[in-house]
Amino acid sequence: MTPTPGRRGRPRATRATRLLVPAVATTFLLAACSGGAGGGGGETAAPSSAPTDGVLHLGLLNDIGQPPDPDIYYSGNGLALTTNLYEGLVRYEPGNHEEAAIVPSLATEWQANEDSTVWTFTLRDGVTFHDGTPFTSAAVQASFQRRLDVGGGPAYMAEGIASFETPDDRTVVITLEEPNSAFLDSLASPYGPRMISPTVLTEEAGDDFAQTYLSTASAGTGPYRLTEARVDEVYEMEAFEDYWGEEPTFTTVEFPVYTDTSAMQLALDNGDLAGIIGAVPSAAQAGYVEEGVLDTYSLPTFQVGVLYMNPHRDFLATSEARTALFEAVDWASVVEQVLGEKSELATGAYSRGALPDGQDTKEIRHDPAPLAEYVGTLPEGTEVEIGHAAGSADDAQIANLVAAQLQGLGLAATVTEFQTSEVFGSFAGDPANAAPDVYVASGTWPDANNPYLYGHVFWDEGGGLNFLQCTDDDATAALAEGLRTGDPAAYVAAGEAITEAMCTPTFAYTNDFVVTQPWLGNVEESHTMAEPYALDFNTLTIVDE
Amino acid sequence: MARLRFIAGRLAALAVLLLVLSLVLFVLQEVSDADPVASTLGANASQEAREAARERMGLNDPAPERYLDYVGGLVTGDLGTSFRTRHPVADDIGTYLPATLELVLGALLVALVLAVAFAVSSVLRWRGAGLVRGLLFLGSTTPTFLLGILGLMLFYRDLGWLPASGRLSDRGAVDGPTGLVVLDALLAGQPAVAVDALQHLLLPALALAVGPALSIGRVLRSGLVTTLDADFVRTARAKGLTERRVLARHVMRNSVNGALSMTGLQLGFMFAGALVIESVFSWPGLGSYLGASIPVSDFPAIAGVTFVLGAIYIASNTVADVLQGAADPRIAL
Repeated sequence: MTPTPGRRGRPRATRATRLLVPAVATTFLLAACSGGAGGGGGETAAPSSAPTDGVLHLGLLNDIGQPPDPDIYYSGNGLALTTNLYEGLVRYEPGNHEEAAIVPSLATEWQANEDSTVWTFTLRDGVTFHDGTPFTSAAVQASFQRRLDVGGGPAYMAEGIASFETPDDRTVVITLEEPNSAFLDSLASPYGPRMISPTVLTEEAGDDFAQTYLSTASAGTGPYRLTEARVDEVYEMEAFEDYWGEEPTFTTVEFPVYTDTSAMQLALDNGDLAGIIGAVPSAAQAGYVEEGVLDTYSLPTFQVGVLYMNPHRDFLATSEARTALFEAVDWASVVEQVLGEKSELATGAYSRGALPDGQDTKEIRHDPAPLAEYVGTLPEGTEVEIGHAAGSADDAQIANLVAAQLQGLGLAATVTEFQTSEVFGSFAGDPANAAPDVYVASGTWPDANNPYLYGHVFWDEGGGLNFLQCTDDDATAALAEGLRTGDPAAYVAAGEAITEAMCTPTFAYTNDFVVTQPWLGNVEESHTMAEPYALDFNTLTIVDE
Repeated sequence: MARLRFIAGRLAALAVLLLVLSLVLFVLQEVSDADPVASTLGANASQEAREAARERMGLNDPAPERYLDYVGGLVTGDLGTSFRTRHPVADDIGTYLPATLELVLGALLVALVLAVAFAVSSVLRWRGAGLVRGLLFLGSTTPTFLLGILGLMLFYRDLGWLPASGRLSDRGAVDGPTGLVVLDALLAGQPAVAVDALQHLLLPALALAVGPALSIGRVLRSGLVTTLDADFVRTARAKGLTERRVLARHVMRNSVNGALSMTGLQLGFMFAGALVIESVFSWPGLGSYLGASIPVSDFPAIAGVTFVLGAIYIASNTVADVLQGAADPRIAL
């Protein structure tokens, strides 16, 4: 039979195919209509039940970027791994968010001579490495030496050692080349020297000091051992059965890698993740707090928000000009508007708690008049380039707000994003040509909270975080004096000098914003100020719901 | 013979293009302010450590020497070592490429189905065809990442039908030999794992397919409209062939040339789109690898991925040309 032609002489569809089309169309329509439902931020979060298999799923936003090898790793989110796989002689006290107190880890006691050049440590008994090797004083020297051999970013913390003595298996005497009152903080830093099995370092040395081996396995003494490391995909740790400390509630901790914040938040909201540590964007934090379905924590850290101003530009060459620019910005409003739940206005030159209470104080003023007056003396249309790190929504927003406020005062402010490799590379090498006029960083932190270690990296010439190389001779001298004597007065003087010079001023103290399922307990006590993006997973618990 | 000459010519063009590509990438890397040593070692690395790393990474050699070394390595399949993962880039690409291939092939399949549905329903004026056309148009004008997020919200969060990320619920469920987990699961006789892999694949593939589907469908629809009015189609109907046979045997075959050419182009664009979609769905493919390599100026990794994608783009267009010739022998290659 010849089919009946439809309009314009074309054949008609069969019944089945006619049904298929609306079905497909409906699917797309539903997808399109769901657009206004919001995306994460707790708007539709539903708490999950506690796991019964002992597995804790926590999201990592982006890969950790480097192998979880303590002598190589020198970044942020991977601390969740390295601090649970490896331990040092001492550490910053977990759960203490008031001060940077150093407490025992693999060393139970320590003492220094009067000028801080000879340090004697008594080692903990009954500790074994992940491969079964007993922890003795011999391992300490091998671990320090390996750090120097690898020569990674944190290698500097093992430099300046004149000699090691190991009078017995439980005692180590470290003699420094020069007085160093910050030495103990270097050891407590999450990037400080970590103990690695000497057996593994020998047997798996290869031609790279066991770097290949330790990119997918662990040989520390931590409560967990690395069982899987698939870059850009997933990392997994299992509880170390011979750990010297308390037995963990969670036998496995899994970190699926997410490359999109919204997708990670959806996974948390759906209950597929137990929590997100430090990676929820500021804009979404209020949603979680207000809804209250999931538990939220804003936990103090050593992180600071700082404004870099380029002294190698004529119009920012003087401390008066930099002061005028810094004070022209309404920082209280910027911090509240952008950083919200996880931040507060800075009240000192150093990171929070670097000096005892009341010794590190400053007041951030808001007075646009001096800059308005100064702009009047500059050529019309003077341009200001404000830089921020690519991929940081917070920094981008702050940079835009600062630009808007400067534009209101007559400067032609523009915003540019920079890749990590540019910030850590060419900025400091050639700040006059390769760096912007101003650079915003809302969440950067020193390796440790000793005032010397803070000041050295942010203020000294060549300091790793002194991106625009703004220095002050008085501050540098005071820091050196503080390192030698440990005298807080020297550090106070350094802070006052750098504030006067208006080099790299702080504008915010930044917290770790942590969101978890309600069944996850002991979160606050498992967090350490020095370790952003990390928790002690072995002390987390499951609470009754 | 003509076909062989054509393929040989395309391969030669591929080699030249990749050489140019390598030069462009190298020059861009040289003139940029990025410092892979600084980003690899981070702040506070000592000058000695930085110098040692520069030496280890070969960055102290003169630029022309480094470029020639790099090209020499390419010839032998050595793409260098990633500064970030510290693995040979060729190994990394071997690890990540199958995930991207599976995603793109899945998306291509979905795109072809949608394109045919769009074209045929439009030409045959099925009920609902206008809606399909409208939605495809809407989808194709929506940024790919937004489409992915919307898909996640509907199918993962609201309906709970599909998973949100990754390729498998149990990562260790299947391992090799092809790296395409759906195929590997079937080869291993694990249909449940294959279904799980398909569930993971469906949403990213759909998000990636919508734009190309409209492009291919439009060209196919145009070809169908022209062919349906041709004399030989009237003759075929007059001979008493069923409409299905007319459409399948005569109309479709004479209408697909343009669509095949467009498919080749869209396949290349899909690899570019996959880089975005992989980010949304945490799909461990070349896009994720490239996305993590760019901020730290991991030149060997960036160049390696660019080479592979460039080669795939040219190869897919070559295949499309060959298929055009096969579909219509009148087209001389």
